[in-house]
Amino acid sequence: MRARFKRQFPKPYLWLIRFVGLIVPRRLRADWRQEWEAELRHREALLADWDKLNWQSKLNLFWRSTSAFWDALWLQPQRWEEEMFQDLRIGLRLLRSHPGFTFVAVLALGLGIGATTLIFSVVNAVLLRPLPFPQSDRIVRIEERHGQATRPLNLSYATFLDLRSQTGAIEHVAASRFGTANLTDGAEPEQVNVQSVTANYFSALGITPVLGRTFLPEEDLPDRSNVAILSYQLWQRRYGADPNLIGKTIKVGSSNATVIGVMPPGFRSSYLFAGQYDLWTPLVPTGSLSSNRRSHLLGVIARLKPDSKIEQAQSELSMIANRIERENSGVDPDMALNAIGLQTRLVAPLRQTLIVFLCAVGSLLLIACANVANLLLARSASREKEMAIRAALGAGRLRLTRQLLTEGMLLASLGGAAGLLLSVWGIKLVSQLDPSNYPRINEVSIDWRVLGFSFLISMVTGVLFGLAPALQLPKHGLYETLKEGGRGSTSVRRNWLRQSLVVAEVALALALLIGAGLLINSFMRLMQVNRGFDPTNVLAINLNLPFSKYPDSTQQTAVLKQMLERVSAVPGVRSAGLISSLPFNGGPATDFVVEDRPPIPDNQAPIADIRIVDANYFRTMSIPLRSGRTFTEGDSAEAPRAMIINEELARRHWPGENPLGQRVTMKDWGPPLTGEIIGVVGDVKADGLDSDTRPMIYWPYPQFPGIFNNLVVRTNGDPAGVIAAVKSEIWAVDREQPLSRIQRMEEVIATSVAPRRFNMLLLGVFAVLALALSAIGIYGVISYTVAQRTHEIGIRLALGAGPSDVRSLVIRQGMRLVFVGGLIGLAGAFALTQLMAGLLFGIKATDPATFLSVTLLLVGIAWMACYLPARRATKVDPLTALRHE
Amino acid sequence: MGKGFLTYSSAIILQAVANGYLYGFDIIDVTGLPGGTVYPALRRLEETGHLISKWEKHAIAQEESRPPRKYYELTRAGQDVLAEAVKRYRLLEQSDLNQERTPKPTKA
Repeated sequence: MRARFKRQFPKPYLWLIRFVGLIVPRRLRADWRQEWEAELRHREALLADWDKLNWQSKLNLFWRSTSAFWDALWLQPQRWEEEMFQDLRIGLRLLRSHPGFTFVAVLALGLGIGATTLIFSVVNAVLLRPLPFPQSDRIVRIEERHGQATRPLNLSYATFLDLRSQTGAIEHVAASRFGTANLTDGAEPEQVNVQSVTANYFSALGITPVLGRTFLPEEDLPDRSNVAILSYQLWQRRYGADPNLIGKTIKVGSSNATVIGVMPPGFRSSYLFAGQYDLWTPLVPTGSLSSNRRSHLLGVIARLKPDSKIEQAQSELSMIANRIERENSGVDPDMALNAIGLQTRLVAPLRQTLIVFLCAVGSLLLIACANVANLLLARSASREKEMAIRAALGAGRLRLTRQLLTEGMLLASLGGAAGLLLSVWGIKLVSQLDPSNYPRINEVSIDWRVLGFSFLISMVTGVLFGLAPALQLPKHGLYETLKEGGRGSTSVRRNWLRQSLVVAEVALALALLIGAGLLINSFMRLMQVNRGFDPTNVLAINLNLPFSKYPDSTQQTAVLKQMLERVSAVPGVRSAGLISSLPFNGGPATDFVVEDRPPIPDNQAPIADIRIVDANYFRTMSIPLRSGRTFTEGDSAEAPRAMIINEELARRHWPGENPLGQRVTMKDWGPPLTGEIIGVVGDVKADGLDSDTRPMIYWPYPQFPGIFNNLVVRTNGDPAGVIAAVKSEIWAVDREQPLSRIQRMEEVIATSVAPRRFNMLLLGVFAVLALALSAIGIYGVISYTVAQRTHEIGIRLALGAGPSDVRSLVIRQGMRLVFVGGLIGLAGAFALTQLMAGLLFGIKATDPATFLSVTLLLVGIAWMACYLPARRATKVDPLTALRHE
Repeated sequence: MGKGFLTYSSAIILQAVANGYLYGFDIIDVTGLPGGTVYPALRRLEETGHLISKWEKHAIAQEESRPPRKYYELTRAGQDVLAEAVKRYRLLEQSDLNQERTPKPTKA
């Protein structure tokens, strides 16, 4: 039988098994082949025994042996699984055996991924996540513009009424205005932000209360409006989440309001005005509000009808604007009404900032990747022999690449996890820094989109730097590496790649640093802007009188005078004054006319900010008097109307003349009011340090009392020391008077520059990280090169080169990379900083001083990073270096 | 491995092994299942512990001048699930797997 078997064994079966066996996992391959061979031979022997081994049965046997292919295919997943686990095991072992390397790589990646995730989470909350209302893309905000004025205005009540009755493409046209209200029913009076809204406001947003109901259509009429809706937070905090509160009465100011609903927890922002709201009351037109077309107080929203497009709404609004202008000649010159998506409007001012941040973190992430790629390259040099041995044992190029990629992915996953932790911490920090101009910043969180993004960038970065060492696998046989003992053509190629990575790092870091430098420079210039008053030791307190309690101007004047007198008498208080709106917090403005001047067309009428102050305000704030006098007790309600103007107004309208004694009429303050200029004071910024100085008119308090007031108190020492005494003096006059926003004037300034400080800090942190990472990158590459060139340096030293020669040789090599990177970085910075033009103050995006100083800073640090390994190079002992050969 | 649910083809393969058909081709012949089903099923059954494979002693193979053979045997767990399967698939009892014990090559 054996002889016959040897003679007759059909080779094709064996070939087939050998061939198919190639795809069987290596671990199983020998056994697999043997099993199949044995089975085939057994079968063949059986056939021979049965004497049927003719060509037909041989063919059949061959056909049957193709089943081996299915068998081999079935074993494939095991092959991948096995190799993957093997790769992972090796990767983990490597990471564990080099904890320093692992720490640095994970930290670098964590910083890069963390920063990117953080900014993406902000972008996600602000730009990407739809507003939390059903079909929020159909909600539009309607704004009014006049002529070339770039700032959109809110609407007047009269225009709102026109819109409501004349539009067909939009529905639920709703208006709201913000304000404050005093809750006086509890133990301590409390001032809360309140939004007065038309009855259909909530249906325009499509939001329903968690408890009770919203306003009924008739509840925004004067005699039915004593109802209120609470925010979830207020309901919880002040009323202990009492489910039976609905239908009960609370005391708002001195009047009663029936609670009819509680809104859901997340609903506090109006997305129309800044701030968080705790109370909603019906918007009731009082006095001349419904006919006054010049007081732009209402934020108006509407919903596009299901079958309408925004373009339709826009063309309707244009027609309405034309009609209003025609029918109210001279009142609304060059009027335009625009419909803009609510979310678009909300994020428009931030888009540019966020794009700059995304560019910045993208650069940071790339720098981190380049750094880790460099570290991996350095390590792969020491693993060359290992790779060569693996290759010699049968691992193909693909297999080795997969191994390297798996290691990269492993690092990236760890980096991603670290980054996610860092970004969670970063989100907390960001919300603490509270950049108040960021809408929805309180909604920033880690959601599925952020998680997905973080995972994706981790994987992409893993591939990016995982591929770097894989690219370095020698293309000619790895056997050469074994022969070369780790030196040769691969080293040259690796150096080239490493150096390119350093060049890229330097370029990115420089662009980022210049961007941050420009912001820092802007901020410093901003802080040097003349404020026009001395904020040191000044306390500001919001003191809004409840209108229902003090409806009469005589009452208002009397109670405020009493309060001021008592506060001024507090020990430690130097003086106390009143103003309707604090500097930097904005405020009302009016068109005005100078008496005895030729008439000016309505659309070119000059505008001035209006502030109401008491006699002591200028002294308390240390605002200098330039000419004339400040207000006195004599400027009473009965005395002739007097006004003080700022220098800017004097400069514009009486250049080189004396404005004192001139008469000016305010047009937008109810009936036109005329007063005489009695003094000129220094300029104070109305909107913020970065705003233009605008003309301003001050009126004396007794002639123009109001309910919105701010108390300013100048003290001898730290103002915090007098807060309790000031409060008790005010409460001695009115126990129910709420006091809010008690802060130092320095804090008021800080708040006004908070968005800029936030941008500067964030970009500054990113730039410092980028600088540190690229310094580490340069240091790593130069150190590596020094280590590699130890032999050469040894020979140089042996041949008589001095330490300074070696040092300059090494430094020159490093600085060449910095130079190339620097040039590319400068070009990149020109592009990046163009994006930032709108974020800067007082300097151009191409400010040469910033470009130069930042470049010098980078060069200095890069030089240090080169110097350290260079110094080590001079310590090479020629004998030791040569002996290694 | 506990008792598990067996597909009909797995059950029939186990039955074939239980009846002494130790090679894939024999199982193909006796069950009529295609080769693409039988081999993966054998691997799976081995992986789930219903079958174990044993290599023939090297000396025996050497004597006959051929590679050592690999035999499949039913494990205890395999016997249990087969018993379960037989209850479920009544046809198994009546199949000709129980009739003939000597493998016979066929031209399929």
